[in-house]
Amino acid sequence: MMQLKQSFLGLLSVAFVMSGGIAKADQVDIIALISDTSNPYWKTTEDGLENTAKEMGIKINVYSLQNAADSEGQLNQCEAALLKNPKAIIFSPVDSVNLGSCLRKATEKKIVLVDIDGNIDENRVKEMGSDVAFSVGSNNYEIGKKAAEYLDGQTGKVLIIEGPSSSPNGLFRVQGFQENMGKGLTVIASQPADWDRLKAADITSSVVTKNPDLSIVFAANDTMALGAVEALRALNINSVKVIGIDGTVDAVQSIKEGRLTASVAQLPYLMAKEAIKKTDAFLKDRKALPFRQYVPILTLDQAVFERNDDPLLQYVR
Amino acid sequence: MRTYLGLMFVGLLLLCAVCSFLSDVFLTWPNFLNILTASATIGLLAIGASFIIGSGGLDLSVGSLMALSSVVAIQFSTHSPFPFLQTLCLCLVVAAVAGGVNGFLIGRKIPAFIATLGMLSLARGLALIFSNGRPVYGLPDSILFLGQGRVIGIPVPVFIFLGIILFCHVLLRHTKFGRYSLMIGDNVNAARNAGIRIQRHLIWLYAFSGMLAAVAGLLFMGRVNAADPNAGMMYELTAITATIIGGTSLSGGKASVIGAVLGALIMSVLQNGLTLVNVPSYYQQVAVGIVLIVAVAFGQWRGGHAATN
Amino acid sequence: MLLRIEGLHKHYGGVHALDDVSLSVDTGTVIGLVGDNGAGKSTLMKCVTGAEKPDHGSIVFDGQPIGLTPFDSRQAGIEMIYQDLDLCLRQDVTANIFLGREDLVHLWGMQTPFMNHKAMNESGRALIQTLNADIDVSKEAGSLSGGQRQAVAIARALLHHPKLLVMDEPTAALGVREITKVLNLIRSLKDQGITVILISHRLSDIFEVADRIVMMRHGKIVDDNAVSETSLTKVTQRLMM
Repeated sequence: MMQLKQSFLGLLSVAFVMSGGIAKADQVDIIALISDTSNPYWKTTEDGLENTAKEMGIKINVYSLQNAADSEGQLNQCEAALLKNPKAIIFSPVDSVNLGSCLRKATEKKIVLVDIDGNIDENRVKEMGSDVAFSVGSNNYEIGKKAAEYLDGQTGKVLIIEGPSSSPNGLFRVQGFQENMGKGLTVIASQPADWDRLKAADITSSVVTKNPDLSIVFAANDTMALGAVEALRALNINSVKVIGIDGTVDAVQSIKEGRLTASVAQLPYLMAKEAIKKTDAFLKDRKALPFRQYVPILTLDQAVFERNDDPLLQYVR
Repeated sequence: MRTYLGLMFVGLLLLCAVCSFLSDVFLTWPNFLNILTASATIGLLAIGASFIIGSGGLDLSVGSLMALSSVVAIQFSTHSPFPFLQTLCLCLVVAAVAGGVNGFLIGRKIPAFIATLGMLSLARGLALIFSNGRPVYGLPDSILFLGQGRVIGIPVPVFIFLGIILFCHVLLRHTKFGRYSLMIGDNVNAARNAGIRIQRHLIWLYAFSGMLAAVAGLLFMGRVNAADPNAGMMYELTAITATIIGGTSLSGGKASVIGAVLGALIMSVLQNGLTLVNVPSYYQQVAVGIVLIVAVAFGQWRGGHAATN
Repeated sequence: MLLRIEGLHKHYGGVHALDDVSLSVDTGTVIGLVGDNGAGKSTLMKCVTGAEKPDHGSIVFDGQPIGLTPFDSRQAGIEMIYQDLDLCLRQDVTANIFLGREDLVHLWGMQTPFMNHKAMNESGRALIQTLNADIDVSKEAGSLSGGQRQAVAIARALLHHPKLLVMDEPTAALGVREITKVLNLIRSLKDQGITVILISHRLSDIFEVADRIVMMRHGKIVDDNAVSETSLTKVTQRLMM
């Protein structure tokens, strides 16, 4: 016990002496707080943030979560981030208020705040006393609209697979789709599958069994779209077109193999790149931007991959 | 046990030394307060877990009870003239009743693992139902004060945490309630033959664990400004990890409140330190796993971790 | 006369576990109760401690008919120490002695919820001393030898100031040296005027400490002699019959 204490005290003093001369991980320009990187969407975002920052010579720390619902863990990360005094914090909150107290302190410390992925409500953030410069993300209504436009001129029965009713993004996508759907299409069912592959497959099987003349499935994300694709294949149905959203790696693979018809891709890598660039510009010139900074979206199908000429394709992973 | 706690404390200081070596921010007063605040929620659950594990049981439902109690309390107190008092009472009562049900079932020979696993799912489901699956925003200022307020520059959660540490330490070491909990974990037949009413005690014990979860839930919702039906997910396992790092044996009969708090602090320092040093979250999980195994193995080598006696 | 049992019957289904058992025990004596497994020793003692109810017959203890529950018997002054001792091995000796009967701190005549560790340690130590046992009361029960554990169990029983102590196979799991210690414990109980009923398979132990030896077979008492009037050989022969 005594020896341990002595060796510990020795170590501690050595640590203190050496700590003066060593480069610390503390100096940082931007800290990004993002969600759970086991989700490919956020993994790509992380890559985009880190690579872009590196290219531009910006020092960045990206803090990610182990669990997408860990609102308290993210708050802890945010509090830690404050102590490092970055010039800007780019954040994607777990819910619309969990970072409230931390963002307020950041505003007091004059740290520039940038939302990424567009989940926050501008007014609510203001009410909570923090000043968010702008928000970089996809326009989810526009995404749904793009999907509807892709089906322009087609006719038949449509199944809509929704996200969970608690997700505003999911609701906007479905709204964008329904409000811009061609005249020849009729929605026969619209059910939530909570972003879940299996639930989407079950819904698809039961709807297509009741309505063998189903012609289109629109799912509010790719995971659910791929569930629908599998369900249709299991029933040996090849005539139904399935459209998803996100452009995930799985979805791209599935499109190339001719299973999934199309996916309206969000481009997280591009989103991350834009976020860094715009934040950097804002830090330099302090020129106010409109709050919503939309990132382009891209409809992917086999034809797009065959032509392979769209410049946005470089951001598809 | 005492030797083990001493070693754990040295381990904690060593960890702090390494972190301060890598980050200048780490060894500052504001960061110290950050660590204490961040450890409060898990710390409270870990204290509850030390009582429960000491009694030879297990409570997997605490994370869900955090969510259920806070969601129900907020839903039913929004229009109350005394929102703070009502939220506080409802929160404690809901969690105590759910915990009491756990204790009742366990007293009726349902394994603690099964009973509380059922409650984990049941309470989470009820929390989602009561909140319609969405976090409830806009809490009364008094609740926000619990999570975000400061008194003489020190965050309120830190005061609450310290108060409960003291209360529970006394409860475990100096009252019949604490002693009987350990006796039941040590030799339930002896406790029964000595006239201890096991079934009644288990109800109180699990209700107590639920109430600690409710306080953790209050701090949680005060901090994140929302009564979140998804709050506390997986917290039960983190709490059990902290308790075991703190020297409590899974086989019952031994427990230490101070140990559980040390365990929670170690977890919190790890997370804070690794974040400051910008270690990706994947590696943080690896680190927690290593610390758990090393702590128990080291305890075995030196003798003194109750898990290996 | 401390204990008088008359005409006791007990059936379990078709088994006649106790068949017209009568027995009288004088204050301050040590009775050895012997017999094969299933002879009815345990059933008889369970009737005495209130753990079982006889079908017929009466038990009078200290001039009063015996109560119906273990709690009543304990109140009347009957303690039983089971073979497994019921110790909590991870708790210290004091905690084991006072299990279920903890002393609380009193302030200004009011009872607080806090345990009085100091008082319990002191009286625990005193109790252990009356048994002439050398045990550190702050040690965990699990770290004690078999004989020392027996002493702790006896000390716990003594806390209730019993008039009658029933011990079930106290020496079964012990080595020779430890057995001697336990037999000394029983002698010191007798010196304190406590009546002991000792159930044991080890006849030599019984001959060392008992005043009387009672033999049971098939639910009946078949032999009841003062130790001075019989011998180890005789009893062994009777048991073999």
